[in-house]
Amino acid sequence: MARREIESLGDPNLVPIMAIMCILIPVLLFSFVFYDVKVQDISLPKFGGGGKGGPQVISLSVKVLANKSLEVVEQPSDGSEPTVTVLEKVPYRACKDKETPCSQCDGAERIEYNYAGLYNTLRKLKNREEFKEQDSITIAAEENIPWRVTARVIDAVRSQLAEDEYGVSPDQADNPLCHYERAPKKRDKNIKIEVDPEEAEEAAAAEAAAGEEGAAQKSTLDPPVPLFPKVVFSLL
Amino acid sequence: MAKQPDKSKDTGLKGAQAPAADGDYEIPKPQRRPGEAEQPLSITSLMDIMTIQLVFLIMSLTSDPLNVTVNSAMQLALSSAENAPKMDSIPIIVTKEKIIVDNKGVANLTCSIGKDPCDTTVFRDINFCETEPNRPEIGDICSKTFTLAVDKLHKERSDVNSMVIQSLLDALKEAVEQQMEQNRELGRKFKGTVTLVVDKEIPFRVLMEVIYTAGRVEVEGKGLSKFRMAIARNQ
Repeated sequence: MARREIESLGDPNLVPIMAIMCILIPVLLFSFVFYDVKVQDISLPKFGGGGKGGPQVISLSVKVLANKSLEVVEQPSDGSEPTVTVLEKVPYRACKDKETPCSQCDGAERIEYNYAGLYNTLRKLKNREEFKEQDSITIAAEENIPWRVTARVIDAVRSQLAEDEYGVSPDQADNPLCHYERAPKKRDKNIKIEVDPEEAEEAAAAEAAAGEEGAAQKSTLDPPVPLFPKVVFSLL
Repeated sequence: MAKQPDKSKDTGLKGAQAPAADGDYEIPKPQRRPGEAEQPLSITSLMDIMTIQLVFLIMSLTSDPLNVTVNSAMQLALSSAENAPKMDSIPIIVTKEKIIVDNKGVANLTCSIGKDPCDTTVFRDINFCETEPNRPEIGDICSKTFTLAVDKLHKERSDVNSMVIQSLLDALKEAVEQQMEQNRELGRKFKGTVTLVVDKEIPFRVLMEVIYTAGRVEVEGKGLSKFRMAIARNQ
């Protein structure tokens, strides 16, 4: 008798569960981040005097000034006069897509920091003998510089791009930042990136967990060739 | 005079489905075999699809170490960095409104545009200054002075010039203690890594105050020494 009653209950009513799901899925989709979040390492700011000892190197810093420009400062360790390269802001026209040639970009013109000029200057310095082994650079910015500007300055100083300079040749001079933005990173499979031994272990474990597919994905991109990869922040 | 077409022929309906005498159409009823009961809508397969979608979304959200919620007060800066975020770092979120540690607001930011205080419209409009400063809808907002600073009540000794955000320091100490305890239980080593998820318009001064404060945290002789900035990849 009891068995017959159970059998007669039929299919459960799924409509309320469906209603909950119909609400849950849009809420989760709304909170979903559809772009690729990555991280870039920075070092603690240096307050007070510099440390004693260490190799005699030229201190290299980039100053980000609010309404003026970017300045690349080479300060010799003997306390002599620094060499300052001033990079004024440049006009920039955005393109709707990456396929449109930079000369045909029809976006509204605006004035931007000369990130291309910064990269060109630092790349030239890196080619000089005294900077060959140097890997750190100080980014000093004024108080009101927004983080988006500092993030792009970090991009310009950290890794080498395919070419030595951008926006200098006559065909690139009209919209230099466009050419710089589209430049691919210079990559070399022989570059060894300094990693924490623990992090290397973790990465190896993650790779093993990802299986062959994960390993194949990783091997498609060689590590970028560094320019001045160790960034130290400082407040002007 | 043009000849009117015969409506009954145009409809293609016959018998009972043809237009009624007064011009109204009758809705054709589905043909059902004699003795066949009316079936309710079957949603079992739809339930399966939705369950899979729900599991996928929940898995994606929980496996994201930063879990950034993007809105007008939190827009990530663009960069070409390639390193993936790590799971075991302590995230500090700095929006245009407040500093958040462990999903709790620990310090408020004061904001002004020109001489006026900011509202959500300002937060939304100021985000266009990077890419579309001449956008008609935002007016002249990009030419005005946009100021963001940590409320002095949250600073050390309530000193506006102090680099230490006291409430953030306290919250970070608590977060570090918690993570050290977790690591002890799991047999892992404490790495002292902080991931800063910072809105793109946050001024350098606020950023430095957050980094400086985090650098001052010390629990059992260990502190936060590795800093990572979260960005949105642009290529």
